[in-house]
Amino acid sequence: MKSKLVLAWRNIWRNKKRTYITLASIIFAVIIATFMRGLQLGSYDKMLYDAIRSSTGHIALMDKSFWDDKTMDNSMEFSQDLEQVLDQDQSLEFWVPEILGGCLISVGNNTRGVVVQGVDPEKKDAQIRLREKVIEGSYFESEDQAVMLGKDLASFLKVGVGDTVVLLGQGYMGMTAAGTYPVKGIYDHPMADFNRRLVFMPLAAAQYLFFMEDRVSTVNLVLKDQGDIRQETALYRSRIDTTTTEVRNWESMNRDMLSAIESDNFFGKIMIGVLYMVIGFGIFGTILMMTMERKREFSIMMAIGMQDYKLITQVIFESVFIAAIGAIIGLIISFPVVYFYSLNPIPITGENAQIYRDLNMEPVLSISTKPGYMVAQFGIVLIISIIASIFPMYNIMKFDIVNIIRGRQ
Amino acid sequence: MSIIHTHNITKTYNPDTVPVHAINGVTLSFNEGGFSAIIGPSGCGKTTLLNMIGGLERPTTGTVEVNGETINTKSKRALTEFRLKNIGFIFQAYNLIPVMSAFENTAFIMELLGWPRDKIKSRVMELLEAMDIADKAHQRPNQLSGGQQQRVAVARALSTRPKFILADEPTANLDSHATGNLLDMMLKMNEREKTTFIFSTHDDRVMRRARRLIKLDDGKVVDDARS
Ligand SMILES: Nc1ncnc2c1ncn2[C@@H]1O[C@H](COP(=O)(O)OP(=O)(O)OP(=O)(O)O)[C@@H](O)[C@H]1O
Ligand SMILES: [Mg+2]
Repeated sequence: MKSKLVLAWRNIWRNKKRTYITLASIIFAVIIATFMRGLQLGSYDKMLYDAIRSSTGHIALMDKSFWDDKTMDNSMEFSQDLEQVLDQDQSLEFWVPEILGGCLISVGNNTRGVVVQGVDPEKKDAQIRLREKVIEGSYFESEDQAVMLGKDLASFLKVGVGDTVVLLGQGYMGMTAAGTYPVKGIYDHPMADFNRRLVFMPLAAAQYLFFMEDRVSTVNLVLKDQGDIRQETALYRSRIDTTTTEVRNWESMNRDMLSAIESDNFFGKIMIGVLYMVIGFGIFGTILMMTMERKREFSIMMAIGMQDYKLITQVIFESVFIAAIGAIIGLIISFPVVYFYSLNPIPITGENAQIYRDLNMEPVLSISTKPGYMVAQFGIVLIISIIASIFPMYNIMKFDIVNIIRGRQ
Repeated sequence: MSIIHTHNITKTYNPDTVPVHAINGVTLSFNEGGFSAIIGPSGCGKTTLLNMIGGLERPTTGTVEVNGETINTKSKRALTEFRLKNIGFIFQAYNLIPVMSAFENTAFIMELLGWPRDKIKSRVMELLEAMDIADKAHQRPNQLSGGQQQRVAVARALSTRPKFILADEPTANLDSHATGNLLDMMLKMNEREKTTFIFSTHDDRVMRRARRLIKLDDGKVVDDARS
């Protein structure tokens, strides 16, 4: 084994220039692939993470009809008993009971359809850090009879802190929900919909407005460890009335996003595939030249008694060796950079930032540091190097050693 | 005692297009411990005959027997195995593996056969000393003269004490001093290790030292003289 390594090393460096070029191409490909994959996987993680944290939770409790028809009538009872279980659940990072209701908001002649979110202010802050986003007035408290507006909505309605808005919508059991509320604070959230179409109100006030008493639309649970989903789902199934209420997991609540990710990921893989195919041909050329220019010594080795499969093993070994060196150097170069940008997401500025905001995404590029995809690059390069040696191997088996030694070939 | 027999062997190249009858019915025997030279004009079939004896090429008709075993019907893999275990080869030039030192080249066959490390080491040094190139043990072939390279090739061919050594014009690329030197070495090993040598040559100096001269012309044996 050791001598095989030494021999492979010596053979690789017989043509320094060629080896440098081959290595450079592998290193380049691994770096590009690592960044592309890192950004791609990082953006998926970020999208899902944001969606889970700021809206669906890992799991959510809701009425069985609510997911398809988000009305007050499809709300669920939020009992003290359930609240106690949630409060004592050590597996939760936080949980948020919410009322979601469609309303018309109007001030003077300006009217717009919005979603009113009735929430516990502290829990909401834990969830989306809304407090620090307040740019005017102050953050709401659970006893308030007031609302918080996004800055775009506020400027559309031409209201400021202390002004009154009118909310009109439909409450539980078809009752008319109507009320006037002062604006307590105005916030600026990086996602467009938050600024344009959301109105926050304390949970108790919302329950009163919509005649919900002790009912809520959903309770969203974010776990400390995503791995606990199964047992947490089971726990809450046993605590709710499963004839009317269900426990949904994040996958079922983010289907559209997941399928968008899946198709994007597919194209991402194709891109990487094309990149590696180009590199694969480079490796192939190198290996082929390495065997063809050593025709004579290979023939001598076989003439004096070396079996062709042993020679082939040596060639594969050399090929894998080059590939491994390239892949390792590539990863060594890219890892610190990837790691740095994973800790310091790259902010997106200018027009592109607005595109992100319009898509309800935070305008940053996040990059994944999951070791899996980096190890995968290493594996892919090794596999390519083996595939690239198939034809040269076949060539060796077909060598006409007598004529090569005679100098006729 | 005779260890190699060829029975009326022929070799025809390109039988379907432009047939070249390289060997036309050769029947020969070689005894153990011999030092024989195959001679004749260029193109008379010396290399072809050696290759068939050594299991590198198969005769078109006839048989080659080594130690009573017919070798021309063996599979490719079995022939390789046969060459590894029975024959030492020396070619005209570029015998050695460029990335290996003289030591490593000499050790090559013993390593293929899986000899223990210390046994390989002592055998290599013994041979390199006998060939008078022990001081060059760690040089690569491109740091050796042509004669030195051929001596390493002889050391490698002798290393596992094969039944016989086939050498195809081993001195063709050497000057007369190096040729004399190499012949001395080969004769010494022929006497010391009782190794059978069969080689082809054009070279008068080689012919003079051989104990048997087989003359080929047009693929046939025209003279077989022992001294
Ligand atoms: N692969 C081949 N295809 C066709 N003809 C061949 C082939 N190999 C050898 N020959 C022919 O067979 C004949 C014998 O060749 P061989 O190499 O055995 O001669 P030789 O006596 O060794 O010659 P030299 O002294 O030049 O080495 C020659 O005419 C040669 O051209
Ligand atoms: Mg010849």
